[in-house]
Amino acid sequence: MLEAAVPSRRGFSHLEPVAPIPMLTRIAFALLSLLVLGSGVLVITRRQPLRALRWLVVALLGTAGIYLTAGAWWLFGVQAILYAGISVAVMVPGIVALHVDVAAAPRLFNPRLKLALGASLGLALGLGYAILRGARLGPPGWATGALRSRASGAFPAPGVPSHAEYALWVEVGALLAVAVVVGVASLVGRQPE
Amino acid sequence: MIPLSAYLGVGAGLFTIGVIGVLIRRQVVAVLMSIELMLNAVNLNLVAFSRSFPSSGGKVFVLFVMLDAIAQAAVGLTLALVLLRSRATVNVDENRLLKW
Repeated sequence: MLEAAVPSRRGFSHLEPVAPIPMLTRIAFALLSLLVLGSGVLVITRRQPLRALRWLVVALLGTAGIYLTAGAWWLFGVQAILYAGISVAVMVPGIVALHVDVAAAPRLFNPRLKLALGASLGLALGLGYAILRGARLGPPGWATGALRSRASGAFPAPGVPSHAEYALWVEVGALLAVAVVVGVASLVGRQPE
Repeated sequence: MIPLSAYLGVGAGLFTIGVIGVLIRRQVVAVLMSIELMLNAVNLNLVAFSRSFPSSGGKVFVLFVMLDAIAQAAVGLTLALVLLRSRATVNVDENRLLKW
């Protein structure tokens, strides 16, 4: 994977590995992509929040499977066990406490449905154009130098730079997490005016 | 090897679905789940770029995004609870004031 990662302005194909492609990986990627996108659609169309949460978990697990096809084994474990699990652990009590009465809600979507769909269609077209253009032209010139210097050697597992290069930001993230916990506790205990 | 464009395409599709959910849904919980979908799409792009360009920075950044997603879910649901107590509704269309 690493030996072919020499950037150029002739497209992303020069960054792809030269190893033979297992057909199973492609099939798994296609199936998982369909699963993730289908689950995403079901998340935003389910009326019951707990059912939407169920499909959100399916989307998260499908994304974890896509991480496997990209060779990110470590992130697969983090996503499947920690991220999906904590999302359920955080959201289920919140949804249950909210007592969302779906029968009382006359409309599932808001009145600006057409405007929102039009804006989303514009976003999708823009993203599609950017991806196709990037696949044709390759990375920008300012990025090729840094990528070429990094392509010469192997890179460590994510845990190593997170404790070496990103130690400060890990600490900042931990402090923000503590602030979130304190903020949530104070907000829950707040009495309505 | 699966091309980078395929990963980016799936990420773009998932991000667009999340944007649609944020824009069209009325429940706060559904909006939060749609934001989770968008952050998931961002993670997918980071992993794909980290695979194609030999750097572990993207994978490390995915951890930060996961932390952020969990924190926003916790804070968002808490705000929804506070909103429910004071306004008796969790529909975003019926809550137009930042102060409640």
